[in-house]
Amino acid sequence: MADIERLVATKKLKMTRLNEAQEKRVVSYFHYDPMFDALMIMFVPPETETVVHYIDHHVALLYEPDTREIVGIQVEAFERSFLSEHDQVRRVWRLSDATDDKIEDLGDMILAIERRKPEVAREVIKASRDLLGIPGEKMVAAFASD
Amino acid sequence: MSNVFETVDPRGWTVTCSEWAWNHHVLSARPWMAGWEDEVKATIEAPHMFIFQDADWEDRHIYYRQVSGKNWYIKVVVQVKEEGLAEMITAFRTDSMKSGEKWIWPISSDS
Repeated sequence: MADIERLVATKKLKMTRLNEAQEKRVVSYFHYDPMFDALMIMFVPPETETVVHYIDHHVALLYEPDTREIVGIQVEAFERSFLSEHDQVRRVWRLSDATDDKIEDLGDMILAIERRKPEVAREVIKASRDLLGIPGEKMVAAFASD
Repeated sequence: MSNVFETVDPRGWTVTCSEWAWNHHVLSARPWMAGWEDEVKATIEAPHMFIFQDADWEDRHIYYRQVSGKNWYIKVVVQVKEEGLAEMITAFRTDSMKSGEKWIWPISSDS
């Protein structure tokens, strides 16, 4: 079977910045690409260079190439299949399920989206926690403070 | 709409990358990839050994190319428009392929 060699082992990734993120208020970067159907959540600015480190066919860790410090996660096939496997994530993702967001105009929608972003980030990370192991536990703690 | 590049992959397929795709699907998520157009184009032209099919979408093909001296690949995902023509939808750095991706080229002698 054709394969591409994995170049960096998961155990080589570092969690120093993740440890620091647990101790202070995390400002998360949240980006969803609907065409590629991938969600990125990071606790560093988007200008930070990253490498995608796949854990399974949905979830990947994002890390800095020079330091190997974990800085976020990427979830692929997010709407296509990840949501169907995680009810809590789907609940916060779908605006039509929002009973507390009264949306009458564009301003309401923008507010609802901004309010939902950290909720979605927390639920996605919680849903990925077991798969990610120790980094997942630390991310849950880091994003709980957002 | 103008293209950032148009190129040909090892199968002879034409692959285009529009300005809109580059700005909205690459730079909006990874602004640090500004200036990486030639690297992405080179990945399509000379991928590392194989071309793959996406794990979830049969009409998406994937190229990987390891950058010399680095512990990562450039991964390019293209959307098939018709036989022989595809359009880039994203590109980023990765250190491995994703499980479920299926080898489609070169064609195996077992198939």
